Amino acid sequence: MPPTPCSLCHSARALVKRPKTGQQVCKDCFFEVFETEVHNTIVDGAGIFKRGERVAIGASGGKDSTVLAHVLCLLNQRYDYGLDLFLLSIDEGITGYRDDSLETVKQNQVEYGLPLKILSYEDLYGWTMDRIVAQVGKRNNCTFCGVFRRQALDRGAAQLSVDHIVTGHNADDIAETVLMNIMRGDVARLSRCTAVTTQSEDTIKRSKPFKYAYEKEIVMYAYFKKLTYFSTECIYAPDAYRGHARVFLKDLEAIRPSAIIDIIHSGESFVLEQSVQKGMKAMQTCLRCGYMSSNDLCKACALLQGLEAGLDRSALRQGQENNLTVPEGHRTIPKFERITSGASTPTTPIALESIEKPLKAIAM
Amino acid sequence: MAMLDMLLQHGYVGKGDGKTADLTKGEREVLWDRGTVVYVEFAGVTGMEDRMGAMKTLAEEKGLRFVGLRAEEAFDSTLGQKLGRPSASPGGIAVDLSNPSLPLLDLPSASSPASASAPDPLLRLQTLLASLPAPSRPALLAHILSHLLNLAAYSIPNVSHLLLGETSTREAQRVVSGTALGRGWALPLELASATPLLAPNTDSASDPPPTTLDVSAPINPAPAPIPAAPQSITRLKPMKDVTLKEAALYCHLRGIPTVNHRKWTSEAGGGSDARGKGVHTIESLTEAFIAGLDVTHPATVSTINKTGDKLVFNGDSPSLPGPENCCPVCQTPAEPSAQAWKSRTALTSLPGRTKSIESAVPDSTDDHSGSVELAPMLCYSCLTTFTPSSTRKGTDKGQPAYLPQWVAESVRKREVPREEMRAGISGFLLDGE
Repeated sequence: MPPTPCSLCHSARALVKRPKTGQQVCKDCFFEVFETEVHNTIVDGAGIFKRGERVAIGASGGKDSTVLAHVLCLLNQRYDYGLDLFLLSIDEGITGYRDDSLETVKQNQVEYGLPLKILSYEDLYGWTMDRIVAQVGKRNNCTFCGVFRRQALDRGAAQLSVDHIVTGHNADDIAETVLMNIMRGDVARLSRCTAVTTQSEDTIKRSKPFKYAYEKEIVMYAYFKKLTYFSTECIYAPDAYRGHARVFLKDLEAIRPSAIIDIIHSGESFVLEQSVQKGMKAMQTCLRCGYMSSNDLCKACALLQGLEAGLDRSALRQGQENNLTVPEGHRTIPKFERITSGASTPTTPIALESIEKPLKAIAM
Repeated sequence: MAMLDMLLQHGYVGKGDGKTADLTKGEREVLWDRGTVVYVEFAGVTGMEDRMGAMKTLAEEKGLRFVGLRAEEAFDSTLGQKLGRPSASPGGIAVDLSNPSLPLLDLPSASSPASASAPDPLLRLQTLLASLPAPSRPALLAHILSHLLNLAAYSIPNVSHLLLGETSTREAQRVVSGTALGRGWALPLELASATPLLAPNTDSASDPPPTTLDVSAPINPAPAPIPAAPQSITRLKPMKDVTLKEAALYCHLRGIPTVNHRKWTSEAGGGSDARGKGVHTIESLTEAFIAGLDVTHPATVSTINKTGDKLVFNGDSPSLPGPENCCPVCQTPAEPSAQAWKSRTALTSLPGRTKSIESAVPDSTDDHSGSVELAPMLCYSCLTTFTPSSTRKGTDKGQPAYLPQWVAESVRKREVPREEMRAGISGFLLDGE
């Protein structure tokens, strides 16, 4: 049987079938079409980036952030975006998961020559996810991690004086989130989860350049480009509610591969009725730590208060109104120092992971 | 069946005798003077038992009128005439599903001698279904059902409402499966509990008023042409807050026989399995998923429906869009730039790449130059429904698949006549042109 020619260049032999379109393409065309689609996402409309922006790549050592760092460095050079790129990593303190993946982040730092900043839950909140799960159980612990990570990323970005955070959320993640928010009735999140860039007042912009990139294609890209990454799902993930949406999404994809992008398209089309939009609370700052909040206390402070009080899952129901007195002996989150957008150089030295130590480790 | 029984049981539907209720005796005023059961039979494509006769008997026993249609009649160019709504564009239309731009091919009208060799409507429906990927078939059958119900409603005189028996469980399934099918744009319209129906071949200024219809037989081939006033019909879903289980329990307690499977998601058509779960379509997967999740999270159905209720339509006013403003297949208001969105997010070509040697040689069987393309007219979801599967090898290159009659009419109404084009550029034409 003669080899199938690539559907794009019609000359080279097809080596892969694109999970997104089913087209059979050669390796070079796959790289080009993948990178071009990400570039299109970045420049579409008014564009995600502005020239001269300081951009922190949320790096976990997993496939998404590893490929994101690679592709963003490549496109920044190829299309001259004029960006200053950094790596920002969060250590949630999950034994057997995060400690190994951080080594991959350090390798990424060396490979791409980017400055790296690591923030840990232990340093920031005094709690690791292992301790949190031990206290609250294996259900609902994703709420703690999600809330804590969001604030940690913003704090790390503020310390780096960056204007913008990019994360490796891919099409599968976004489709999963759309389904999950429908199932949970979270209309507030449903209205914004498909936006490629989100920014509330007085917060750092966050963007998802991989919004339309299939997870399978990211893996394929990493495989053919021989990129190294740490591939293990969070050990606490299977019990999460999101797991239901994930299994359903994978089944949908098996029936119709375009279902992932179709869900994203549906999500982009959703508009909430006016009364729901007006009912959403206005943003303010937390009266305890200064982070953005829709109540007197931000969610992170409320959750931390619950943890410090020794509560289990009921820590999730800690009030966020009129509860500003910190019980004696309880830890609090340090004040959030906000760097205003446009400040290109920090006034105080920032403790970044030096590149020498990882270089030496690799040399050994 | 539960809805029908409840409507009659509680006296919402009268017997058409004009009798007024005696309120002093506790009788309830009827909401609708007369009711008509509309039944669409899909046995020709599902292989299930034909229940047309049984449904007609049921309706007559309950003192209701009956209109029975078959799914394949959506491909019958004479259906409009039979129902007293003659079509302005009696000719059919076919599409080349192997070409992503979906070029259309005109077919001779039913009165033309050339139409004698055309396949019958059932074969046209079966051919179209076989040409589509398996996951796309339930969506097409749903559009056929919706269109035939609309057509029947507008053909019956003095109808004010079309009542659908969709339960809350079915609505929750619609929210999730509609999202997965890319129908987010039209979903708020589909979920609305009360919405105005788009009249078939809507062009109120030029369409003739519908004639009356003898509904004592499923189809009256020669209706008496008595003009009736133009209608405006509202679609209602009275069962929106009743779950599937509650409806099933009601029918069980009342001794009402029901058929609970449509078999639109027949697995005989092939298609990819959902990772060994034995389901091949998004609709059946969604049904199973919601049923399973409802066991561990009992508020699932109500939560999903509450989410759906908070969505609003993002386009222009959805009431009575013109043919140029609606998707020819699903007849919902047109979605802007669906094709452009699709091509932007999933590249299928790279600029500057050379064409294959084969494509440089003109292929006479692939010559659709000048033909109208269906793809730009479709909404995102219908475009996905008709997009050829890259793995599908069954579709013959250039072999046309017939489209339902209403699609042909909708497409033709969009076509700009040459005279109108000429009038627009007359100032720029040189003498002799």
